[in-house]
Amino acid sequence: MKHRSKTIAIIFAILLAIVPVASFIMPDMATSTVERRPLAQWMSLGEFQKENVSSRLSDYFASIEDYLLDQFPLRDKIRSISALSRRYLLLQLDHNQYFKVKGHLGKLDFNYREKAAINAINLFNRVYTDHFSGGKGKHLFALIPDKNHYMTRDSVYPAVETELFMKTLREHMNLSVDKVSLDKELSLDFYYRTDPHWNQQHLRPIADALLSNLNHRIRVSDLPFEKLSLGTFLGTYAGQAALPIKPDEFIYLNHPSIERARVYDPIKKDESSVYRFDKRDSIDPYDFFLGGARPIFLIRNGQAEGERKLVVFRDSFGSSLVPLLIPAYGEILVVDLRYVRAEAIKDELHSFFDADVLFLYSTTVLNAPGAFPIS
Amino acid sequence: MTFSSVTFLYFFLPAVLAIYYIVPARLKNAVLLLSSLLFYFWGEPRFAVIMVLTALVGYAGGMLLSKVEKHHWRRVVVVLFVTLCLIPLLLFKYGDFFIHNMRELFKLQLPHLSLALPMGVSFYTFQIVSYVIDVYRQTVDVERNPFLFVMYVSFFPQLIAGPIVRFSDVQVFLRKRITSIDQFAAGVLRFVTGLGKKVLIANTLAEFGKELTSTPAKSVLSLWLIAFAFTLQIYFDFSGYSDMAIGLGSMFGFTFPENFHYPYLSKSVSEFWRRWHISLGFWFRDYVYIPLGGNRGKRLSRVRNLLIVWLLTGLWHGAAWNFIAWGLFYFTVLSIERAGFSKILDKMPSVLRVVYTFLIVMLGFVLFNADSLGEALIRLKGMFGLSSLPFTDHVSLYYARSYGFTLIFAAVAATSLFKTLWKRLSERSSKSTKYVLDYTTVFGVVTTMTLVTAWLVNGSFNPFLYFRF
Repeated sequence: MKHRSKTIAIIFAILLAIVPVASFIMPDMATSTVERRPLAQWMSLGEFQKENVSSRLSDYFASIEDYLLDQFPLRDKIRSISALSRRYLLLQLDHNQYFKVKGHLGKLDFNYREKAAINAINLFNRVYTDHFSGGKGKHLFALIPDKNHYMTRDSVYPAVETELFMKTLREHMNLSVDKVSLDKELSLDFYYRTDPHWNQQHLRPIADALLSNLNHRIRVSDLPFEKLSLGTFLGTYAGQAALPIKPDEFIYLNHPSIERARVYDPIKKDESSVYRFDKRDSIDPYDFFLGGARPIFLIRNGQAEGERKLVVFRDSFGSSLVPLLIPAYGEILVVDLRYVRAEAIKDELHSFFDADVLFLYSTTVLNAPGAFPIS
Repeated sequence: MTFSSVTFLYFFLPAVLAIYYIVPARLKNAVLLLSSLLFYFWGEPRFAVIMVLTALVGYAGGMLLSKVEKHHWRRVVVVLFVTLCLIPLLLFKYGDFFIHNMRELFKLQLPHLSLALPMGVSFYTFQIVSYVIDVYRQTVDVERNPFLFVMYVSFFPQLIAGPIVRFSDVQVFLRKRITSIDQFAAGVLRFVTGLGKKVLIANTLAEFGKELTSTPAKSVLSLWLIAFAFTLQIYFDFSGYSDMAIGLGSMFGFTFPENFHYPYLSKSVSEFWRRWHISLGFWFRDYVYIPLGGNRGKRLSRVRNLLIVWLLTGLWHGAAWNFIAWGLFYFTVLSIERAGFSKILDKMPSVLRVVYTFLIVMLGFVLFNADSLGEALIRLKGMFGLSSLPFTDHVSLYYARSYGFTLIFAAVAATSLFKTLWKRLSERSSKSTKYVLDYTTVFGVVTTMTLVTAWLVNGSFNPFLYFRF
């Protein structure tokens, strides 16, 4: 009894002591690369009160708890223990709502939020009516299914049916805009295993489908694109899920017209390249494509055949797809309506009145309440 | 700060244990007092003042009672000091409930107080009140050392979620206690068991309930699953907390009363309340029910006594109508059992009696778990197929599969099966097998602590249900 008690007491003491000692020895981390977020840092009470003027003492104590959790020694490895024990000990089908099926990581979302979708569509209608109605170009809405659409087929996992979005689009989107769902053209292989986004290396058939619907004669698949690798890529789902998964390979498609094209930002008034090598090591490597989330920019391609112009209203899926359309258009204006009001850029939109218009949105964004301002 | 937080587990507790065992015996109480005040201060600094002041009122009441001899004046003193001790509880917990109902009933323009609820106010108030009454009844010696009395009230293992430790339970330990390695190890095992119950089981069940509750598409199945999961969750949450409190007390040389005894094995609702939150049940019995007359007197007064106790029990759990309804629900069920149904129950097979009790308790927790009485009634209607909900839905089936193992494991772990098996193995084993069992215990401690840490670091859902009481 004594021996057993001693062993228990010593083991418990070691367990309790190991964390504070390790916390003291190990340096604090600034960011979590797998979770893509800055980690809480130590702050003295004075510093905290300076930053949070009307805060209370209990808020400061709460911030210390956040700091200790964020800077916990070997945090990412310990989170993996949580994920694995839930999966293999409790036989849970998801971890923090993330799940692994068919070699891919996905995030559960089975509630169709029709109000959010209608709100987004009303905004698109207003932008379309105010700026493009009566224009000579071809007008198209292309819907990108969430990867859950493919992951959850023939499985126990629930998901929102893509057809529900198409039904809402048909009922609410302006009749002059053609509506297509890309669900037939896409498959699970088109998406990264560790990220919600699609993988550019597979997108040439998608670009062709869009060009065909825009009545364009160019086919991207016929053009000589070069496949280049930037090494491994762990997407946003990998960090959140903390489940073991083989990393993706970060491959991009290059073409002389993409290399020549220049991206002009009318808000910052600066110019950059299509592929942003400076963003490769940023917190979100997907920002490599056109610099990631930006309200508006203009891509100029002096080498395009003909002088057709295109406006793309898009979410983050557009970042990797739009570069593939560069060989087909002289100018492409890319707008993210989540970050800019159409009224604020009416001059830019006006100069594209007769251009082709493409609304390219994923079901994930349409289904997210608050993604767009209330219209 | 909660027991199931990284801050407590890996910073507060090791520091307090280390200092406690390093300092000489005469300073140990000072260490416990200061660490307890820091523990409470960390959660909400301004409420620490209220807790200490309430404790000092109780202390003064005891001192005055020790000096007053005339029965009449002793009664005045006890009523006065019990009332004074109850003021913070009444004000912070029931103030807005009272004002809201006055506004609704009489259309009065009373402003709301909008006061936050001090942590554990219901627990420490009941402890102080029980002390004042016990001194009045002369069943406990008055405590003359105010620091020792504040330490009793604020002692962090039992401060914010019980058990309701009476002064008579710990008076001896406050002055003299022996801490042996066996008692410390027993405390560790109890604490780690409670931690596992809270973090690994209760929190997982809470996630399950939260997922189903937040899904707009409900079905009969989803409502039953929510009720079933909550019934298990609240047991593992609260009994886990009590285990941690008892375990921590043991590490510091105290022996706290038990608060749970496998309540879901009860064969009647009356028995359930002798096994669930035992310290609260005894409190109401000793300080409300018996003084009102208890089982003595006419049938009508017995019913009145029971009604008052269950109204107060409901109100103790929360200042809302659904808690009052929950109390009245138990008053009704217990009255029916007392009126003769218990005799019918006695003739039924044990399994049926356990199932009956569990179902009643689960339905009671539907009232308890709802945000309002209206919501509780909607849920109950849905559960019994009275609101045109589909029997099942895709999402509920998914979550039932995902959390199925946890639900089954929790249901089995809520019985005494594991404990009985372990006991039998220990009793019948040879010396070498006992060695294996000892190391299995150590392995269990390490595994539980590792998993708990991993789950806490992962930022899992972690509120204690009983903090709001």
